[in-house]
Amino acid sequence: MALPKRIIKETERLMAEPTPGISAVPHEDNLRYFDVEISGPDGSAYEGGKFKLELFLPEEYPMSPPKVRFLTKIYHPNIDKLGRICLDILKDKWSPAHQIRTVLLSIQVLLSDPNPDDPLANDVAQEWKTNKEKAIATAKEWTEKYAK
Amino acid sequence: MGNSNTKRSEESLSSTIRKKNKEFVDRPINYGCLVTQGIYTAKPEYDIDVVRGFILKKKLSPFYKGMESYSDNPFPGALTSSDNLKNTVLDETLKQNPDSLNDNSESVNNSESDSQTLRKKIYRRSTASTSDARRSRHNSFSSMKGGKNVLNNGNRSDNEDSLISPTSSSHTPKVDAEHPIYSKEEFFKFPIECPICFLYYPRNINYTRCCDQPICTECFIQIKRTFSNPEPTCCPYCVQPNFGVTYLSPDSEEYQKQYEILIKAKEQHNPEYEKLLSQGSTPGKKRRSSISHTDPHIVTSDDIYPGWMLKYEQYQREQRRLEAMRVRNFNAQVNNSATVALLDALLQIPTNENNILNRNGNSIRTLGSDLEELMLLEAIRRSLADSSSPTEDVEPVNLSVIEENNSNVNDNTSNISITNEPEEPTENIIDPDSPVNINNNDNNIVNDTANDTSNDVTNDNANTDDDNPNTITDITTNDNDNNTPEETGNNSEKVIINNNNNNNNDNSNDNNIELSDNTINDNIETNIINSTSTPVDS
Repeated sequence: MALPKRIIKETERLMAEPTPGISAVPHEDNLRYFDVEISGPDGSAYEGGKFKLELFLPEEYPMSPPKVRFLTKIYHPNIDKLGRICLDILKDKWSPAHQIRTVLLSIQVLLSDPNPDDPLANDVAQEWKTNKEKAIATAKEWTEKYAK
Repeated sequence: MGNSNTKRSEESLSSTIRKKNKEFVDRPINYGCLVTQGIYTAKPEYDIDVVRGFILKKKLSPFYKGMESYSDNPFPGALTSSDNLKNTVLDETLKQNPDSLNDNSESVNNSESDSQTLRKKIYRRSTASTSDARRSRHNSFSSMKGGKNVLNNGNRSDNEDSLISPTSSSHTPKVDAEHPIYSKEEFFKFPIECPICFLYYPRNINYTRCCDQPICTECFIQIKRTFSNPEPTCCPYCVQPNFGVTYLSPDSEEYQKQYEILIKAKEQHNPEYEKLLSQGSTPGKKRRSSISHTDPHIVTSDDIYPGWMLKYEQYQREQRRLEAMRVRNFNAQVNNSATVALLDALLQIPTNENNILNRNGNSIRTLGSDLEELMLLEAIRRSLADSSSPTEDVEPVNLSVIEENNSNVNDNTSNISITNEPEEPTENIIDPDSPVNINNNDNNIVNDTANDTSNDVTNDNANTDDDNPNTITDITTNDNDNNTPEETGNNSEKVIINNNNNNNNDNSNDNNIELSDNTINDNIETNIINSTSTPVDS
């Protein structure tokens, strides 16, 4: 199956105009599969960390959202132990006007701004709500341990 | 043509009609056509005939083969003589097989008007070499002109005419074919990039009703409600519900006015301007406010998915049916675990079963098959009565389940006393032992030695006895025959434990299968979401 023009163009644009703190490189043998790296946003508990993710564009893309998952262990209320991300635009709020770039930007924003009220990792969210300082300390610790 | 040849075989007739439809949908409409260009490969769910109707009614932009890059002229440079030759060859192919039209990736828009006026216009405006190519191409299209009349006949025949929606059919043959106002070059000047597929289209692209953003027809028709999100579709750009688009036909005065403005703007050679132009804005044009989705000029997602609600209702019914099945299975599992377990054990562990039977007495084996049938009928009757509360759809499945059970039972005639179990589980548990049973069965002993599950078993026997007085005597005889009640109790307990394992396995398997079925239906994505909503234990 030929790769849709949209995916080719998106990839070209991602390469030509990279977003600071975000890189996405398609696999040579599968251009729908991207190795992603997101830098932990400044001022967040993830600052200084480099988080690896995988991103896959399903057959229905862009009518269906890309599938994205953290590969680097991360302590975050909206990211579970398998690296799955709770982000509305990756689910029911997906729109074909979104792109790989906007998705990754949203994930970066999610790192800056965790949302423990819509948790994916309940224990982390609980910690985040009851003892935020400790949660952030753990997040920093994990960043240090796994994302560097 | 199609009509007159009634004696023709159905097959050739329908193939003729297909061909005519093909010719019809390949007809050029403002250099576009009625056929999708293959951006999306998934099986279409939209109603293509409805879409075509909207295109013909000038409510949607025709399909165009999107250009990969922005360019004022989609045909850059004059055609060389070899190109010319190529085009002639292409035209020959087209003549023989109009289908190849869409496979030709070389030219952006192969469709060409068949009108003489247009030809003259192009000829006058283009360079000599291109016009030659065009002329030869035009010839091939003029051969399709005959097809138009043929098509009209076809319209009158009753086959596949739904292609043209009734309202549009009256003026379809005339649409746009007669005098496109712009040459192809002019027409493809100032293309607009569709933000969904990233391809460039002529300026008569659709605009969203809400936020006035461009979207090509091929992308627009992909946007639909889904079973996992049955709410009205939202605009992909501004997320307003009830997504719809509006379309400005090149035939309209407004379009022509805008085109003039573009020409003037173009003369300023401002690159920033160009970018804005490619994004679909027109200089000086005020951003219009949102148009209601009920406005007759608006085509909404729901318009092009007319059968969606029915499909969704069907889907919901199916879900309810599955849910009812799940509940049933669950109840059966909870209430009957012990008794079903015994059944399973008897079926699956013949050695144990034989032991029990030997101990309980062989007389069960000797029971006639007519009794078995009787019990089966009773079981079916009960389950039918029982299932009257959920949807009717449940029944066939339920029946088949019972039949399955029963066929198993038939294999092991000795299990008769258990046939009744699956249908009235609550009674088994709630029902206090009937005095008859306490008296006749060795329940007391069993209770002494065995746990709750064995109680269930005995209760079950009781139940069976209630229903079938015949068995009472049989079983009681059995029990009486059996002079080692304690042993029986122990034995049955052991079996039950075994069976419980089996039973749990089986039932949970069943449930798993159903769940996975369901999640597949539900959409894998939601499955992931659902599964992710519970924390993962490490």
